[in-house]
Amino acid sequence: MEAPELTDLIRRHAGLIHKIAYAYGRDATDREDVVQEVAVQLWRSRHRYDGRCKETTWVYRIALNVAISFHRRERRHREGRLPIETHAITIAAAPQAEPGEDVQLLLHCVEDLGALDKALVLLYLDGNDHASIAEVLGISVSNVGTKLLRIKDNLRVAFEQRARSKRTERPHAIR
Amino acid sequence: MQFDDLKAAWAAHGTMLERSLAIDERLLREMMLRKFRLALAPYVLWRALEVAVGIAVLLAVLPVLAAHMSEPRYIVAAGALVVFTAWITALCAHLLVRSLQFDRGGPVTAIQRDVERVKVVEYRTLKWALLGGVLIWLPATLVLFEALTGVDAIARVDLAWLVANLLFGLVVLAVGLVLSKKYVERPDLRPWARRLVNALSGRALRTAARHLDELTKFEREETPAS
Repeated sequence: MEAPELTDLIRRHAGLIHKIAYAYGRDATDREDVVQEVAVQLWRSRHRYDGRCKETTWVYRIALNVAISFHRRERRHREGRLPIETHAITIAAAPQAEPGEDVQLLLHCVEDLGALDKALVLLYLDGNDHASIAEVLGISVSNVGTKLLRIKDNLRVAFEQRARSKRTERPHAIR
Repeated sequence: MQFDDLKAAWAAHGTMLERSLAIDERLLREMMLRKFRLALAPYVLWRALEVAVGIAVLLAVLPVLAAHMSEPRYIVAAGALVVFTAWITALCAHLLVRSLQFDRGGPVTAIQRDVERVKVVEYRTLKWALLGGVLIWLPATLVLFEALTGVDAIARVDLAWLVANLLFGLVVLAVGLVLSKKYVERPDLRPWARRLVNALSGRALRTAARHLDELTKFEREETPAS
């Protein structure tokens, strides 16, 4: 894989990479760092990709592994991050890229999940079937199904609670 | 609203995000040629240097130990140094090999387990290198001095002074442990100090153990009722 191929790969999976960065990064700088690190890891792992799994599965694995490690690293002692001025991939601060109300609420609810449950939910929201999710995460298909049932139930309750409290907050905010 | 209804909103969000990602191809190419290749280099070089220094110390100290096998003072000082150096060097070599083998394209649970296990070894290595270093720095200096100059330094040092230094090392060690526990929550530490304090206080190990525990729970088959 050469530079143009990596650029194409990142372009093909930009939505996937960016959504993962969005879900795990705390702010815009974090998200750019995650996207950058994913690009670095894709480049570094390019010779190890043997085509045994789908390209999307491979990109998901790398993006999630990078994002989870990034998330677990303490904010105040992030070592080895590339300085911001070296970023080859930037995220435009376009207002249309701000999530809608539903997605914002969803992200707030997902924020409370553990790093691995969050990965499971993201894969599910992206429309992956249970077998693909199991392949990315390295757990059994039946485990994916059972976990999803539980997490979806919890998220539905959390989502409704947040939506309700947001509705009640609004009149105060206007006042 | 049902959770599945959010899929469409999520997909639309993804499409918008996709458009906001700008790739500077020239810079990307440049980074791949230089920085990407060097991104892991400091870590690998540092570990390789540690292994090289460890081997060099062993090669210097073993002949000194062999030459004084009948002297208990040497067996204690040089023997401790050999055991300590061999152990730390082996751990560093293990970390070096693992860091070179890392493939983040593997299943998430397997890779995250590997990451946490490597962290555990890393924190233990750092902790024991610090604790051991405080205790054996003086005998190590004396043995290395003989290895380099041929002057029998240990024989010229008063045993009581040597023991006093060892006790002083123990006191420094105890104070260090207490301070690391005291300052572990301070947010204004520099990265290197944070690393030391986290390793010494045991916080880093506890965090890694918690993450490993999370992984085990995640991998465990759930029953619909659980």
